Amino acid sequence: MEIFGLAIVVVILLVGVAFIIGFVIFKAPTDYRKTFVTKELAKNMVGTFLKINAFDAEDKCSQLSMTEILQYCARDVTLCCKNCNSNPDPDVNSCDFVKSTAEFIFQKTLDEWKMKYEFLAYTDERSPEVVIGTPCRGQKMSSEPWHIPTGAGNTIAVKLDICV
Amino acid sequence: MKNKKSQIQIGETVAVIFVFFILIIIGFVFYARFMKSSIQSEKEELSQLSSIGIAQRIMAMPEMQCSEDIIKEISNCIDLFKLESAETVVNDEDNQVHYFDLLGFSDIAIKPVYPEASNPNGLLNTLKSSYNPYSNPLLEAGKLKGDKITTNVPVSLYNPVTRKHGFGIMTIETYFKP
Repeated sequence: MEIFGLAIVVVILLVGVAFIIGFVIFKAPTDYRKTFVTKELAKNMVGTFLKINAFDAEDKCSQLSMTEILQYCARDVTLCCKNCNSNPDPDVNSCDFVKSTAEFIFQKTLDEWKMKYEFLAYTDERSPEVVIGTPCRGQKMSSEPWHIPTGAGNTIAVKLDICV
Repeated sequence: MKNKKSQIQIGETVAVIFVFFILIIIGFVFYARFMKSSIQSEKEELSQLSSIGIAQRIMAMPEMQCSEDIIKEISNCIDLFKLESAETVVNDEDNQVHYFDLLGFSDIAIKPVYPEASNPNGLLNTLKSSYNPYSNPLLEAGKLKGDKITTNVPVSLYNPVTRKHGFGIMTIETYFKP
């Protein structure tokens, strides 16, 4: 009789353990905010970056947006944004200008928040014009590539991967 | 002899029932703990969703959002002139109830990143190092305690006169009870 009681107890315990395993161990942790925020962050970072103007001390390039400078970059056009008259070699490569501006912004944002990322601007993905950061090894949240027509029959794509 | 055997059997039954109840109690304690952590994680999920909701509401607030030709709204864009007025209007005592319904227990700050506030380079004559369009009054009074969720949203800072965009970060801190 006692054996029968013990068997019931063991069955109840097994059901309990199966229940716990099912609900606790195999339940995928939901982190809505992290997924949403990282994805939105990557998307908004690129969207906002393309919208901003080029601010330089002498106000030579501020009429240009980053999108326009990237178009110059894809066409390999140089810009003159600082010391245009005094510097014997005043032209600044437009790709370098985009790179230094993006680096400045990422330094004050993503780097400060200790986030790993890779920013790319390319007409051909195998040889990108602008590369900042390092490729993500594990999971990443990417902004969809923004394709900007260069005016020379092709497009330059801009994207940001944030490592999770 | 018969009496002794019965006593042993009663003792066995009592022992089995005792063990059974101990197991039931252990199971119940375990279940209660599991339920507690489950409720806690659901509470956290709800706070996260609420924090996302607040972030989306702020981004769509006409008090700050950029507009073109009066009606066309530009997403992820903060009008610098509107922002300066919003700081006064939103934090006004008469409007507190309305904005509390919208933004709850949160604190919002907008910081110019490019160009820097110390060197605005023609975006605006003077840029503040940080704008604070909304701060819950309880937070300002130091009465708001609890965990907080911080959300950073990149925004463009727009000067509608010169039509130039700068880069800024909107930081939304949402407070919730632990």
